[in-house]
Amino acid sequence: VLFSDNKVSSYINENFEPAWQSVRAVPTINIDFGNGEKVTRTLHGNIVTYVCSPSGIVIDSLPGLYQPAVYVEQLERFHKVASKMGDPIDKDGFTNYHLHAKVAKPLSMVAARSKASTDMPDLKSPEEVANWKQLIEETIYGETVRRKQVHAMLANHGLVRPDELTKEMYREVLHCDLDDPYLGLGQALFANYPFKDDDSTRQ
Amino acid sequence: MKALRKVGAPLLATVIFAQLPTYSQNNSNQYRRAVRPSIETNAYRSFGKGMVERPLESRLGAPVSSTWKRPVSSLSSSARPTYVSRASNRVEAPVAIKPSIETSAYKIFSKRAIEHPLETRLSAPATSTSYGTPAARTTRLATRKCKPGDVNWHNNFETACQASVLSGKPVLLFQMMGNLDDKFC
Repeated sequence: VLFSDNKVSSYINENFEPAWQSVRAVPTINIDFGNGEKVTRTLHGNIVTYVCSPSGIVIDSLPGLYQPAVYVEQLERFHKVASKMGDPIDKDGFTNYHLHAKVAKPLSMVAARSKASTDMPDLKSPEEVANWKQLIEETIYGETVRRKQVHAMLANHGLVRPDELTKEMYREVLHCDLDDPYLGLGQALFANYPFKDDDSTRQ
Repeated sequence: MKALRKVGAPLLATVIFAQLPTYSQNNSNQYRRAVRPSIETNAYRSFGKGMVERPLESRLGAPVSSTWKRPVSSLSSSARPTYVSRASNRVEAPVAIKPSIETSAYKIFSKRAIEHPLETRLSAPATSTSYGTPAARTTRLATRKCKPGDVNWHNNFETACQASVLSGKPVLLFQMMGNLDDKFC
C-alpha cells in the first residue's frame, strides 16, 4: 500500500535508486478446522528502509511502518543528508551526525492522532490506511523510540553496508530475532506445552 | 375356576410373548432399521459408505476391491481372514492382504487424498454462501502475486548501487520479511 501511494512512489522514482530485499520468508499461521476449512494468515511483516550512498554505505534508516506523508518527509531529509555527505563519506562527519541527531514527534502525526477514530476502518483505500490510528501510533513510536536506537547503532558501527546491520536492526530495534527459528515466540509456544517433546514438526 | 386360572395364566403369557420380537428377530434387519432410523436419513443416504469408500477402491484398483468382497470360501488358505462377520459373511480383515495395502498403495495415496472427496462434499453448501471456496483460501497465499507498488525497483541492491554511481542519486533499500510482489507479505 505504501508504494502504491502516488506521492511516495513518484518521490522515490525521482530521487532514489530503489531496490527491495527479502530477509527471510514471512511467517504464516495455518489453522485447519478439520472440516475442510483452512485459514492462513501472516504473523510478522517488519520492514526497514535504508538510504545508502552509491558505494552502498548506510546513511540513515527508517525501521518499521510509517504513515506515507511522514515517510516522504523523512526521505526528503535523508536525501539532503546524503547530498551533503557525498561519496565517499567522511567517518567523523557521519558519526557526528548520528550522535547529535534529534528525534521528535512529527507534529502532523500528533494532530492526526487526536483526529483519528478509534473504530477499525475498512482499509479499502490508501487514504483509509494512511489515517488508520494504529499506523499513526506506529509512526510516532518509530520516530521517537526506534529512530533513537538507529542513531545510536549507526554512531557505534560507523560506515557499514546494510547486510552488516540487518540482524541487529531486526533483533534490537524491531524485536524480531532472525536467527531464532520461532522469531521470539518459542517461549510462548512451547514453555507450557505438554507434548513439546513429541512434536515431530520441530527442528 | 382354579383350574381355569392355572391354564389361563400360562396361555395369556404365551399369547403376550408371541407378540414380542424374539432375540433372533432382534438381530434381523427389521430390528436394525427400527433402531437406526436417524442414521439412515438424509446425510447418511447422501454420503453413504459406498461414496466414501469408492474413491479408495478406485485408487487401489479393481483387483484389491474384488478381493476384499470375495467370499471367504473362495480365498486361498493364506488369504483367509482371522475374523469373518457372521451377519454379512464378508471379509473384514484378511491378514494376507492387509500388509500389501498398508505398505504400497496406502503410502502412495495419503489420508488426505482419500478423505478429500467427502470433505469437499460436506463443506460445499456452507462455503458457497460465505467466504469463497476452501481451495481458493488455501492457495491464496502461495499463488497470488501482485505488482510491488508503482516504484521502479532495481533487481537487487548491487544493481541499484551501480545505477546510483551513474545517476548520482542515493540508494533506497527496502528490507522486509516475505516478498514485496506477494499479495500477502
